[in-house]
Amino acid sequence: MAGVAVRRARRQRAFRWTVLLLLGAFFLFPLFAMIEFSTRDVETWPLLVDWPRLTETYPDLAAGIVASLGQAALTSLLMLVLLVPTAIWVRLRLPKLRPLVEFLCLLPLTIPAIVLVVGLAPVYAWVNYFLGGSSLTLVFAYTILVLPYAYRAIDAGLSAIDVKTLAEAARSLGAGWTTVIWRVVLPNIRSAVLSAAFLTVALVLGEFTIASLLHRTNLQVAIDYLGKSSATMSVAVSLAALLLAFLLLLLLSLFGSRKEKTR
Amino acid sequence: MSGVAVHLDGLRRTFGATHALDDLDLSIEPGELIALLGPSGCGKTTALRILAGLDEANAGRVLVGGKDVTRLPANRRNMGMVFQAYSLFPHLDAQRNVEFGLRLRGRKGAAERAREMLDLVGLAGFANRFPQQLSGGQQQRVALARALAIEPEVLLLDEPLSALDAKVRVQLRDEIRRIQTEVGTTTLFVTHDQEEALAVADRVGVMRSGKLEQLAAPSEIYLRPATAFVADFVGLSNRLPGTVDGDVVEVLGHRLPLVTPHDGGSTTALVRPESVQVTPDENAEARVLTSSFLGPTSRVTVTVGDQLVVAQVPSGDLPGLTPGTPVRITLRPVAVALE
Repeated sequence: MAGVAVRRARRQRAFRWTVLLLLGAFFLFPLFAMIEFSTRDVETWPLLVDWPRLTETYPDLAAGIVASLGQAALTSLLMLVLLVPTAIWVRLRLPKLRPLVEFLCLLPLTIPAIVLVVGLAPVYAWVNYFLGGSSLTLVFAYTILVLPYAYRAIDAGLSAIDVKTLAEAARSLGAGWTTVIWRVVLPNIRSAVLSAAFLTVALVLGEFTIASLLHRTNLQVAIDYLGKSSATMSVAVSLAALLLAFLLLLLLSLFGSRKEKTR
Repeated sequence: MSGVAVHLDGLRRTFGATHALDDLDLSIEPGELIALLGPSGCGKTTALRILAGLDEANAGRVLVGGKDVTRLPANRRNMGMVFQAYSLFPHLDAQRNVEFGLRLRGRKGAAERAREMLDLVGLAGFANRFPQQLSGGQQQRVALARALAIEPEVLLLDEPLSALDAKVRVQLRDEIRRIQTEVGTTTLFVTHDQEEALAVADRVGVMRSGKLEQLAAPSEIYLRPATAFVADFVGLSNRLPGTVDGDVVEVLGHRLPLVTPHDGGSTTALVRPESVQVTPDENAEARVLTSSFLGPTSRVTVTVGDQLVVAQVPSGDLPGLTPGTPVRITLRPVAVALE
């Protein structure tokens, strides 16, 4: 009996490792290919980390990187300013509206990017008219795009604490609503807010469809253009962007597990 | 700080078709501790929340120290509150939790005052602990210190002990009474635990369906319940058939005085188990049905014909009262309420 169990455990272990290796190869092979391809020209990576030279050699790419970083920062900010007080307010004062708010926030997930663009195009005609054609105006569209992920993160943070009792305790001690949100609720959902911000940054840095179709520039659009003139550099930048997103998600999961440990 | 008078004047609050408060009037004397007692949904917590400013009444007024605060938001009412759920701010240690209200008021010496308050609740050595490092009882003590630190005009306690285990509950209950007497703050204590209410309060208000059924001293509530609901809700009662004759009611052959006069005729009298004496008697018709040991006293159920009578007896008498023992029942001449 024991021999059968040992053999079965060994077989299962072998199966697990085979699956892991196959999947690992499937995911890592393209990355190795990218590394191999982007290092054929020894100048590529040193140039990528030398900002003044990069700006000079590939001005469009530099502009794309700056635009994407600006978009990521502003989208995170706008998302937090809109979503955090709304989520807190809905929990405290309008709990019956929670399913509706959740539905609205998750809606962008179900709409394909191309459909979003078709809907956004007339809106952006007005945005162009009032605010000009800056790439930073994409922040409005991106804020909608990141809502499902950011809402989920913040809502999970709020679920982990008794917002109502904490807010009432603070109010009975003399705190106004701003103080309640700023000094009582926010410090207790800090990791949820960070998660929402990380997800936002990762999503914005990887966005291509909307920017391209609305004729704005960002990192992905710049990489696309670059691919037509310098394939090596375009692959190197893609790999760098991928690693950055990977790093952000790693940080996010680290924050998540630290939160679990303290609870 | 000496307490202020509190008046709840004709408070009405509805939630849809439910009347949580139905013209509730309640006056609390300065420095007094009133416990509101009642079953779930009787409106006691709603009354407290309206007094705190955390809920709004549909009609009526809230007067604190003679001042109408009905429209004043919670953060401008100067009331300290301890909640049923643990309400300490998780990101602040005990010291900073207690300092919170003081710092909002820009009070000098906030740290010193917080230390004093933690000392008052017996947690001087726990100032640097975070809420998750404190037991439930300790968290509620810190919450009490935090509520009292701001020198509130009124202290509101919303079932602060219900999440704690029995022993800690009794300890903290006595401590709350000691501290309240020491600082003299007018206090409203909401609970569904009758023992808790009777033990800590100067007066107990028994509520039912948004109204006060009776507001009186604990002994008065227990010994002279104004209504059948109060008699039934506070303590255990036997429902025994009786006949009213003038100002007494005859129950199981005993003539008992009435709490409130009655028209006469057949009725049901509410008799406390501790008013029932049970003595073994070979010639008696009544028989012991069950007996349960409860510590210092025990409970014995006796059948008299088709009537069940519950008696509370000293545990020392229990060996002679095994099931099936013939017993004689005697009722002490204590005033009883009628159903």
